[in-house]
Amino acid sequence: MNKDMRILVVDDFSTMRRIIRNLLREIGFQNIQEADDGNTAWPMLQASEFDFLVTDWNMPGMPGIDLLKAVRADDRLKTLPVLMVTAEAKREQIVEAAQAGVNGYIVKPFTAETLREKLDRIFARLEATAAEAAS
Amino acid sequence: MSAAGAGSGTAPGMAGGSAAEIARQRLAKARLLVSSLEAGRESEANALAREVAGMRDLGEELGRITRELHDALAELRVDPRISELAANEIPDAREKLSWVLTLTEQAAHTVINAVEEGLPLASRLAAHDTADEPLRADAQRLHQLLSDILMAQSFQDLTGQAIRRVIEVSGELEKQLALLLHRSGARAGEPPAAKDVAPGAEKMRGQDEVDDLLSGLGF
Repeated sequence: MNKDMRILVVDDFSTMRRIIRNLLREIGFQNIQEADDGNTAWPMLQASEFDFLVTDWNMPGMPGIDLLKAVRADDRLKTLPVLMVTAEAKREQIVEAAQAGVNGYIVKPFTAETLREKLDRIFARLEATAAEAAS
Repeated sequence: MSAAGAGSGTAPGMAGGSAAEIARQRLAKARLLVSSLEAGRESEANALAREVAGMRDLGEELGRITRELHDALAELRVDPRISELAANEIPDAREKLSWVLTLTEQAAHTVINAVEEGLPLASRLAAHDTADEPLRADAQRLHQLLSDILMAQSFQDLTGQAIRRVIEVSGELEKQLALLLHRSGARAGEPPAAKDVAPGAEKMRGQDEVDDLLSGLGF
């Protein structure tokens, strides 16, 4: 995992943004920005290069699932890895996120270990697909 | 409401029998209907079916429902509890919930501030040249405990979402109640005796205001 990668954390609760930011910092990531919903995140994603998106689902304005779909529909952003961190634990929601192309799904409340594990898995899988494509 | 009077006034023939009598007659007709169906007497069955269906007069039913609705609305109008709820208590409860939201958020941020300062300290201690093994272990444990405290602050997000939802629902309830009161003729905007309690019930915004008030009272 590249520790210099740029990460955008999207959650309407500032406490949760800070928690995630701190956890990511503990893992070694320093380059972290925040947005409080999809509407705020979208122009940020458009304006600069991010390597990873962490988003909540349920947010006023633009919810995370819509942000995910917008990312996947955008030519430049469609391969951006997206991790959903949300209290929405209904089966059909997880299915919807998976179908929309989410890379990982964490249900709140979660532990630091869960976040680390999901990050490892997401990037291991991305590297594996990249290696496969290269060979 | 004139519709109620008209409804009962125009009720035809059936109005004469008591409810129990009508029910008894319907049951008897229904039994006849079943036996004529079983015997395959189509036209007789059809006629009986129409009779059974017609025994409860629709106009009478409508009239009864209208009367009940009218009475219920009239009761609403005279019950000051309802308009008190719509105009004062629900908005007040919503405000209290918002306050809980704000206060828990502030508390969570205060904790996170402390943890953010503590985590690097614990890391530094654990990695320090002069630290012996027990000290290093303690520092690592401290780091772990601080992480646990950090994670526990996610309660604010989860409870906050639930509280927001309750605020939303009670707002909807408030709106519907106000609408109901409006339709029943009462004015929700003018709750009985609401303004009388306002000055005494005014809430202080912190210790400074309390102190100011007390010193104003000669304490």
